Amino acid sequence: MSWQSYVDDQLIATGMIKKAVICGHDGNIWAQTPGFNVTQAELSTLISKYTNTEELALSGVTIAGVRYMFLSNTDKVIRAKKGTSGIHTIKTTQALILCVYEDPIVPEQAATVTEKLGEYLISMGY
Amino acid sequence: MSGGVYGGDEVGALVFDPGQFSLRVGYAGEDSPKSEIPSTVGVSPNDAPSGSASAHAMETDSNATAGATTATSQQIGAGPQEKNFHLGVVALAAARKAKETMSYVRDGMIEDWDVFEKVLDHAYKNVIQSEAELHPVLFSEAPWNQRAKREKLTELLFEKYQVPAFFLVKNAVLAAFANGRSTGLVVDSGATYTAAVPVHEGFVLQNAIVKSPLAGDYVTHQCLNFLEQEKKIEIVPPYMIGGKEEVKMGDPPKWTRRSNLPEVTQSWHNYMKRQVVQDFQSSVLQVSDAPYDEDSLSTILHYPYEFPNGYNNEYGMERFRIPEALFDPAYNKSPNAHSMMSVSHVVTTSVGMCDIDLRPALYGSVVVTGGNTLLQGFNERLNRDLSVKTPTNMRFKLIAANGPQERRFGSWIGGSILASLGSFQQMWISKQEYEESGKSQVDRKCP
Repeated sequence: MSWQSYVDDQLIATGMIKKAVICGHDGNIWAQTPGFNVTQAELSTLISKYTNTEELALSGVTIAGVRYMFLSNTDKVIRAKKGTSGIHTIKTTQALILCVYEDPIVPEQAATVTEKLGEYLISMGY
Repeated sequence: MSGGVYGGDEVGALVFDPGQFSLRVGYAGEDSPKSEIPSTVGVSPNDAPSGSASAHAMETDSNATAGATTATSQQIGAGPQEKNFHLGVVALAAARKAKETMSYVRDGMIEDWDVFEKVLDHAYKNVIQSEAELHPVLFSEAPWNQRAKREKLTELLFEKYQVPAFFLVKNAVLAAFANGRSTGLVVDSGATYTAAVPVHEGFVLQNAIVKSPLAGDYVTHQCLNFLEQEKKIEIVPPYMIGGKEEVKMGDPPKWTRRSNLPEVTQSWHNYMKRQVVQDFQSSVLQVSDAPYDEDSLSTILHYPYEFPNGYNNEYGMERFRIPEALFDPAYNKSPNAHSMMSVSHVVTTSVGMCDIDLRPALYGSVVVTGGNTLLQGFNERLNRDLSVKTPTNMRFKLIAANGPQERRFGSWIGGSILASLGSFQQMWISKQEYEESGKSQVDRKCP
């Protein structure tokens, strides 16, 4: 299965995720939703401070030019929000999955979808 | 069953709000909890031979309800019959031989799960009086609760109590909801700690939580020191008193000891003594509305208080001096006072650790909750201290529920509102979801 079909069939098809991107730990984009203007620089910045809670808390997370307020993180997951939309990311062994959700989807629903795929990839060795 | 006060959907959900001092239990949609069960429990050894122990009348017979609901789950702990548990206000207050007191909560989190199960059994049997598998359950938790404990609670509710659906929310978020806010800074001053918890759109900003041990228990401790050491007053809990006579103010009390008292333990005696002090604390103490100043307060009216044994006296400046330590650590006499922060300092530190774009919103709704804030004048003083400390380009607003009930049960009421909202019903972790994804589902759905 190509990375693009993970984005299309596993994330967007659930109806819970508006835009998504899967990239490597270097920020190289492997697959993304068409029209999602996230840059490699934004992704590599995010990955470089992934577990640096203080830094994230003060500067937020900038994706596709939008600055999201940081909510919480663990070693794998970052949650951030701006108004009624937000992002949820999970870092797997080799990749990073980043999903954007919008109203009326609530964060918990997006989190379930994102983390399910993330944990599947981890279990497959990715 | 439910008053449906908030006009929400009727699902018969239960709301549990465990705190350091007590566990609040009731139906979602009602305006106050059905019962408040102390987090302190009495434990006494069971003298009866172990074989027939279960036949003896226990004050909370854990098997009566649990038997029906836990047919498929294991009884955790090898010998639940070896000890008698005395739960609830009445059973706890009864003088009994060799009854020790203990608490299952530490640092706001559930520590002793065996005892906690006993308390839940008690709640279902005596308060809810219904089957656990019929009601979805919403639990509150401390904002710093650990992942392992959250998963354990989820497991316990689904496996032992077979609840149809479950949800876990941080108590600070619920307190903000109860005051109609989804973003704000929650100042929760309860029994063991005063914490400032920033909440953004229903999410706790975990990294910016600031805690201080200056709270209700600390004030109780200071009162006890003041009464026993400074004033040399013997504090006699009501259970010891057989009779008393009226005496003049300041005279030694004339009271007789109750006969046939069982040999009680020191821990229980201290617990009863603390209750007397807590009453003194809530009726006599007052927070000065400006920084403590002996000269201006010396003219203030003295306040009379009578102890259970008949001793009575008037209290003046002490009324203000004891709680002043909450706001000005200079009045704090404990040895590690330098590490403790005043209430307003806790707030400003917490806001300072948040995203700069978020700070105006946090100062704009500072939500005050918790039992310790019921001290007379607490809010007025906090309002004054924080108005001074708020940056000039930001608007400061202190939000506190008016009634003492609303403030004391703030997070329970928030849970009651949340669980009865129509739009919340899709959020529950259902039994089916739990069976598919396991206990880690709680980390995904309940941030």
